Amino acid sequence: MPESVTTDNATHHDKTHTNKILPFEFRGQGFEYFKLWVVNALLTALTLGIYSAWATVRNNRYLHSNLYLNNTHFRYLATPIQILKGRIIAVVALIIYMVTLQFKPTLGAILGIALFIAIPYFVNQSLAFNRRMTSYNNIQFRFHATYWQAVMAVIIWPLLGVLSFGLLYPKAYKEMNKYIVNHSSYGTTQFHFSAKTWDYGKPALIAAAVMLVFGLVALGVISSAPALVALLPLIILPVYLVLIIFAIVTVNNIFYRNLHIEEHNFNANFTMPGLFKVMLINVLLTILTLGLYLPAAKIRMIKYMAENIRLEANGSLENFYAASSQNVGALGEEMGQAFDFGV
Amino acid sequence: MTIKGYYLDGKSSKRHEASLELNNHNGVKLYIYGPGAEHIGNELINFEAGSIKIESRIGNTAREIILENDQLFISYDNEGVDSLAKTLSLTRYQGSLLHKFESNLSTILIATCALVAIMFISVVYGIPKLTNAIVNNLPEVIETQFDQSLTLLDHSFLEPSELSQAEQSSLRYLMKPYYKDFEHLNIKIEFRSGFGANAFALPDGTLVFTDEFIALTKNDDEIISVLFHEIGHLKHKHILKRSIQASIMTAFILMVTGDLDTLDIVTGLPSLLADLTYSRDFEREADQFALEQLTLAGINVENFALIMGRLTQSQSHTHDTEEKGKLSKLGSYLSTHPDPEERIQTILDYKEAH
Repeated sequence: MPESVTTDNATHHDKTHTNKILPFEFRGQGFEYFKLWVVNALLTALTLGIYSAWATVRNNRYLHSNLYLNNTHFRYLATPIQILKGRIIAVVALIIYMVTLQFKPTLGAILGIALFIAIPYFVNQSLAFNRRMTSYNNIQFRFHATYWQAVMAVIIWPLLGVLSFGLLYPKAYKEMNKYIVNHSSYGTTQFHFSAKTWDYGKPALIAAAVMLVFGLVALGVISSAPALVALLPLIILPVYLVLIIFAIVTVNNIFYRNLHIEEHNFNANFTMPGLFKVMLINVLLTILTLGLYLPAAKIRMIKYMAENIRLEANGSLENFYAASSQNVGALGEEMGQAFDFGV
Repeated sequence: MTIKGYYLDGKSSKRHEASLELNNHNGVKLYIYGPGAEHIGNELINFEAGSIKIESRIGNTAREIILENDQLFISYDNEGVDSLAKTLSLTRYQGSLLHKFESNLSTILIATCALVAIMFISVVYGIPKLTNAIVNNLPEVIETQFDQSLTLLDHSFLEPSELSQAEQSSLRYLMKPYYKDFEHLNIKIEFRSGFGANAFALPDGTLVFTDEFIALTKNDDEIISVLFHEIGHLKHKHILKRSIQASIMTAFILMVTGDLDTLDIVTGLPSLLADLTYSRDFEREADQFALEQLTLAGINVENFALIMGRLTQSQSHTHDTEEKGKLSKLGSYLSTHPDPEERIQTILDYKEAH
C-alpha cells in the first residue's frame, strides 16, 4: 500500500519559504500502541525484566515515528543493547552502593558524596544520549554542556531557590530550562531560549497568592467553625488540582513560546480546560480498565501535546546540517542512560 | 519491484523524492529525483545487500532503510519493503515475528489475558514469597538502620506520657515475663501520648503504648493480648517486609509498563492497593501469633476480642460515626487493617476450636 501522495505533498511543502505555520502532529493510535505495548509488557514479565530494553526501544520507536512536523517524522535511534548495558550498570552500581552502605558505612558515605559530585556529569551525559538518539530528517539532535554549566543549573540554582524560601525558584527554573535548551542543537544549529525570569515569576506569584488566600480561608474555618473542618478537603483538593494543571499549562506554554532555532520560532497554546479534559478521561479510563488503558492514555496525552505545539518557520527548513560524528566514550553515554534523570 | 519513498543524505535536512529497486547483484539501486524531475532518476546509486539495514516493522509507521554512511531511505510501502527484505534474505532483518504477533487480534487477546494473570499472580503470591525469602536471608545489620524512628515520631506526632514513673515501671514489670522468650527481638517498652488509643511496633524492637490505650484496657490480660499482637509484627519483620514489598512492587510496575512520565497517580494506585492488602495480611498474621502465644501463656483469648472491640469503638469515635453498609465495605479494601468484626470473629472462632 504505497502512500506516494503523502510523499509528494511533503516535498512540495518546502518550496514556499516565508512565515509558514507548521503544527506538530501525532499520528499514532491508542489501540495500535496498545498492541505493541501489551506484547512488550508480557515479554518483559516473562523474561524477568531483561526484555525491557527491547520493549523500551520498540515503544520509543513507535512514539517517535508517529510524531510529525512538516510531514516528516522523528526517529528513535537507540539500540536495545545500549539500553540494556545502561540498565545493567545502573543495577550493579545500586547494589554496590547499598552493600557498601551496609557493611562499610564510611566508604558508602564517600561513594554517596562521589555520586552527588557526579550528578551534573550524568545529567549532561543523559541529555546528550537522549538528544543523539533522536533524529529528524536524518539529522541527529545534540547536547553539549560543560560540567560547571550543569552544576549551576542542576545544583546551585535549585539550592539558592530553597535557601531563599522559594523566592529564587522562578529564576532557578528559568536557568534550568535555559541550560537544557541553549546547549541543545539540531545538527550543527543551536536552539535558543528567550524566557525572562519574570515570565516564570508572574505565574508563580499568582499561584502563591491563590495558595495564601485558600490557606487563610482554611485557617479561618478551623478556628471559627470547627464543625465545617470535614468539608475543607472538598475545597482544598480541587484548588490543588487546578493549581497543578495551571502549573503544567503555564510552564509548557512558556517553554515553547520562548524556544527558537535560527529564525524559526516555536509556539504553544495549551489551555487549562483542554489539559484537564485529557487528564480526566485518561485517569478515569485507566482506573476502570485496571491499568490496561495506560498505553492509550499516553497516546491521548502526546496527541494533545503535539496538537498544541507549532513551529513558525521563517524560511527553508532544508538548510540544517549534521554535526560531525564525535566519539563520546561509550561508558559515559551508558552511565548517562543508566542514571536517566528525565530532565 | 519499485519502492517509492524519499532519500536523505545524512548531511543536510533536505529531502529528495526517491525510489528503491533490486539490482542484478543481489543489492539495491536507488534513484533520486531532482526537483521537477518526474520519472527519470537523475542519480543512481547501488548498494550491496550487506551494507544496508532494514528496520523492523512497527505498526504502519514509516519504514526506514539505513544505507551506507548514514544515508537513509524512508518509505510508507511496508509491504514492498517486507518483500524486498525477503528477497534479499537479510540476516539482519528481524522483527517480522513481533509484527505478526502485534497485528493478530487473537494473539493480542491471549497476551492481554496472560499479562493480567501474571500481574495478579505476582502481586498476590510472587511478591510476598520473594519478600519472605529476602527477609529471611537478610543479614541483621540492615535492621539497625531504623534506630531513629521513635525520635522522629517524638518530634512529630507523639507527646510524653502522662503516666507516672511508678505506673510505667509496674506496666513494664507486668509485660516483662511475657516477652522474655523474644529477647533476640531487642524489645523495649515505651509509653507516649497524643495519638489516640493505640499501640505499635517499630522495626528496632521498640513497642509504643499510648496513655489512651492503657486507659482503655480493663485488665492486665487485655494489655498482654495487644503486647503479643505487636510482638507478632516484630517476629515476622512486618515493617521491613512492607517496605521491601513496596519497592519490589514499584520496580515491577515500572518495568512492565515501561516509562511512566505521564501518569504517576494512576500507576501509583495499584501499588497502594497492593500495599494495603499486604498490610491487612500482616495484621492477620500478627493476630494469629497473639492467639497462639495467649494460649501458651494460659490467658483467655476472649480478652483479645474485648480490647479489640473497644479499640475499634474508640477509633470510630475519633473519626465521627462512620456510615455503615456499602461504604464501610469499600472502606475495608482501602484500610490498612482488616475489618474489625472479621478480626474479632476470628478470635472467637479460635477460642471455639481450642
